[in-house]
Amino acid sequence: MTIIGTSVRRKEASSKVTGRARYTNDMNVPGTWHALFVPARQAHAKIVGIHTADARKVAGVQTILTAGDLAPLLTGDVTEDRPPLAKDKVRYWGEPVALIVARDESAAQKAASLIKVRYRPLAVVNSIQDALKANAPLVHDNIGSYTVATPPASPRKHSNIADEANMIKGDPDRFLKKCSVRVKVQVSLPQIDHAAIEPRIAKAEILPDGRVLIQASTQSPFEVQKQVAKYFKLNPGQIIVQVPLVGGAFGGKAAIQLELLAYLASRAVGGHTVKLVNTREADMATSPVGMGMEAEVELGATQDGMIQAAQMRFYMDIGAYTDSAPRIARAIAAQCTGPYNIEHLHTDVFSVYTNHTYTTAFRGFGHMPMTFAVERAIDELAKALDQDPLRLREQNALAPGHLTPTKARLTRSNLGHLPLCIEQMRRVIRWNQAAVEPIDAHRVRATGVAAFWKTSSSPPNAISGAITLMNSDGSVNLNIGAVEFGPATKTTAAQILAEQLRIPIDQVFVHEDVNTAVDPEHWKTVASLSTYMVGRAVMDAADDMVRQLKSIAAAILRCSPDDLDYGGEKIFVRDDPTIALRYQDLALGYKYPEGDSIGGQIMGRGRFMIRHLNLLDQQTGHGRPGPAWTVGVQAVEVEYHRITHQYRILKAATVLDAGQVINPKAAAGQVMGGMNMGLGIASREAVHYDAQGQFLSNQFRSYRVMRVGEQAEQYLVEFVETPQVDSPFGARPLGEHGVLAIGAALANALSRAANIPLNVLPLTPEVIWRAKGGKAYGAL
Amino acid sequence: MAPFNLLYYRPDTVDQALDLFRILSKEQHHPAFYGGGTEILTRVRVQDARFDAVIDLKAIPEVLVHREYQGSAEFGAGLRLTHVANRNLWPLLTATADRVADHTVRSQITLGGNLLSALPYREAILPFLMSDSAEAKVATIGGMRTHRVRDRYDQTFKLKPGDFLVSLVVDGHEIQGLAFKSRKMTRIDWIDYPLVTIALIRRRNGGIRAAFSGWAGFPFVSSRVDKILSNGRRSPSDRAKDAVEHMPMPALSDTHGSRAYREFVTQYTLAGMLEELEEET
Repeated sequence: MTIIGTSVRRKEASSKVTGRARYTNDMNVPGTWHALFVPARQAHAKIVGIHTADARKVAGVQTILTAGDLAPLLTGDVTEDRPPLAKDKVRYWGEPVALIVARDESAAQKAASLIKVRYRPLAVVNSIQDALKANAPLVHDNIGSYTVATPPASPRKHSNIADEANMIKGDPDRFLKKCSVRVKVQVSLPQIDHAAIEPRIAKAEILPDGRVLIQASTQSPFEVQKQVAKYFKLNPGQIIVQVPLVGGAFGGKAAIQLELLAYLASRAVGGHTVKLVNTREADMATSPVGMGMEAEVELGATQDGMIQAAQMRFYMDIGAYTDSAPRIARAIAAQCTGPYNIEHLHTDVFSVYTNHTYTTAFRGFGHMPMTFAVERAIDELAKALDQDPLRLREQNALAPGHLTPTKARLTRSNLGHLPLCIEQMRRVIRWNQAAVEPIDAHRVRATGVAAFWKTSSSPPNAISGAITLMNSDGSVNLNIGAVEFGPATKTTAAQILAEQLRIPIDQVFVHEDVNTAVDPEHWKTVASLSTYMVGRAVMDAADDMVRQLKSIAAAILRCSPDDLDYGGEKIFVRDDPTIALRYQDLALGYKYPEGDSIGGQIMGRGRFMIRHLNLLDQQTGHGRPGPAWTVGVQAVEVEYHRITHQYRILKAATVLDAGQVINPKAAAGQVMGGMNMGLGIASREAVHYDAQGQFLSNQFRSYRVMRVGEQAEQYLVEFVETPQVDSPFGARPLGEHGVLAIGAALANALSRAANIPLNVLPLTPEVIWRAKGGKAYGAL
Repeated sequence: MAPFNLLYYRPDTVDQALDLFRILSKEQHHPAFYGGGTEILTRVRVQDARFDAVIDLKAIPEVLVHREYQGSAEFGAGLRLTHVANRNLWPLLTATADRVADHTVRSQITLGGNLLSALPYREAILPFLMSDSAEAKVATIGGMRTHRVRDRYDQTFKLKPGDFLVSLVVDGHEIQGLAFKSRKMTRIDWIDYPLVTIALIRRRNGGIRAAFSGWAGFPFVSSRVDKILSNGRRSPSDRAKDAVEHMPMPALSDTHGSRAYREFVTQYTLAGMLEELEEET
């Protein structure tokens, strides 16, 4: 192998660093009209009336839509419960109530300021507790009437429970009672924002022949195609979705929202090109955020620290609409033990409606909050047992032969090697058995650890593809359906193709955008699956090209294709490499010296479909949720001040089983970015609502992310490599994983330093102060 | 973007600026004086602007004064906060002004803009509130007026519509070698609005003065708090506790921190600052 395992520069790097990279809003056709939605300024209220007459008089305004102008339509990834424009009532602050189309942005804004919505306020469901109270006001009055478009999902009638997922394995009640050591942890995590640099945007146009062109900043172009077709009764083939580079996604661009509004806007003005672009404020309050969670985890173990049984309840604050919550709930249920072998288990996961902004996938697909709950419990168990927390994790680690909570069988290939990761972590952070070391009279230093695992939770029929075309110089164009939003997805695909064709990486050209009309379908660019799925399709396409090259070369060289080998951009006879043809001589067909020619362009096609997965059983939760589980361990070292509760993050470390690292610098960067994001979420990020449910954190001045200078002083990333044999070169997914357990590691470090369990995020000094009793200074 | 036509003027003299304001008002416009623009532009973005014309003061020489002159230091209202900090004529002002926002934003924000901001923080005013000599030059239709900053301060520095702040002057003798401490405490970040910003000075007679931002909806000083802090016979922590209990108004409770936590932070911060201040002097 020559290219696999080397740090190649990402394909779009030069464009990005010179500011030449083009995103959706960088390419505007003159004459494009602007769409703008009017957001609700109530969290839960009946819509009594919408006054649009004054707004319609603004020069340049083309049309104004409200729910009353549209055929009844409910949308949703799983349960169809969300109207594109609020109908009859609003369910969250920021929900689109009216949609304006105007010739320019300022006319649209002027019109928006003139639209008067009259509301009759309803009692606000402002928390999970509010939602679950007896006689709680209902966010949705008619849950029973909703269609579950993509089962499974179990909405509970006359309640705020949008879904319930259960998982039972063994006999948890009996075995939990028998355990000599038991710990129980309750955690609470707020909703969070994806905070991608590029706000979401969608443009739509309907051509005279009926084709629909959509340009959008999305992770799911092929899903946009299908959903738009379904909701508006069109044929998917009529719909062309184009996605240029995406400026960060983190799961938030897997949801489909603006695309539907942009289509409605364009349709309302005769198909004219219309652009709908979120302001930062709208991107945060109106488009979906990441879920909040309350959870209770109880673990039982023997005196020597073998975990026997667990009982868990997870309540997710999914906000006003379901979107992908039931999928996330099942991902949590399926992986709820963390990477540990627990024979007896009962887990319930509830998706709870509130009058908060609705939620969607967020980097880690539920594994981040789930891991926080489980890893806090594991650390408390280590404390109760007075055991080294790394040792406890090591001795309970899942191993080949074990069954996952959903009874999927684990093998050396489909499960990463956690004990190896732990062993390496001991060296990386100079492990001191979690001792708290005094620095001076007030300050201590402490390290916390936490481990993670994750699989893809993809649908069992997810597909991917690759099309390759050879240019006259022997270089190759690569078309794939995966979107590039940062993690070097396209570059990784290029590396795999270069490796398979034995050509230099700069001989592979990947086009940056995705176009559903020309690129092969890729399910969605989510779940860290691109290397695996796209990679397999690319290998298939490469094999196809090699077959074609050999076949034509065999004719020209008058030998069997089996006599041929390839390398150095040539096809040659294995036992006499001087008898050779260059790729460039074959790329567009071969021309004999006499002039007559044979062949044609070399073009490869490759495809891949996930296999052996199934939907989880609704009663028992059993099934196989993903092709393989990536594992790793993370650690955080903090310096903590015992009087002020201020702290500094000195080190953050990850050791992850990458199977085979394809691009070391890109992989390390991806994991580092994940750690930084996870630490920001755990230490400061939170969506705040006021008592009336108003979204208070809709700018970066109020939604705090980690800024330069506030990050950990050191980020350490190391990999172990035990191959996943069905994946390209053995590579395991690692895109999301840096984020998964780092928050738990921070909480574990601070819990040790402050000598009190810290189970509430974000871990601001105030939260620690409150956990310590919230006493006035000097009253210690 | 501004969803309306915003008139922009950049007068060269004080009189032109005053005239423009008067004329625009008469023409049924709603003018506003414009410093660095950070607040005006962010408010326009979220449709929270109550003006349709701005008068940029930064081309007026008097507004850009930055000098030591006849024993005084003078700071034009149009100076960027980064300039004030880099020149460092008044180290206490540098210390408070240099913790506003972040460096990029400070290189836009002007001194006058910060002092007259609609936001509750306005940290750059703290040194002027603690100073006996600080005076403000205000441009009015009747000519340049000079006021003691403290006399015109009640939750905000009071200006009549159409008047604007030209510069601030402090006595060089007062600020020379003055012992001080300034600390900004936030929820967690280095760059954020303050939970509380505290500035302390120790005067030559040993008396201590304090000014606070973030505790309430506006910066303030309190003679009662100063008196408590000045009692050198008591320990810094006792004085800090007493001061927090005798603040002129209760602490805010908001997303940055609860009232009780603000009290806690103010108390330990104040105690630590007193200790350091008195150790040094």
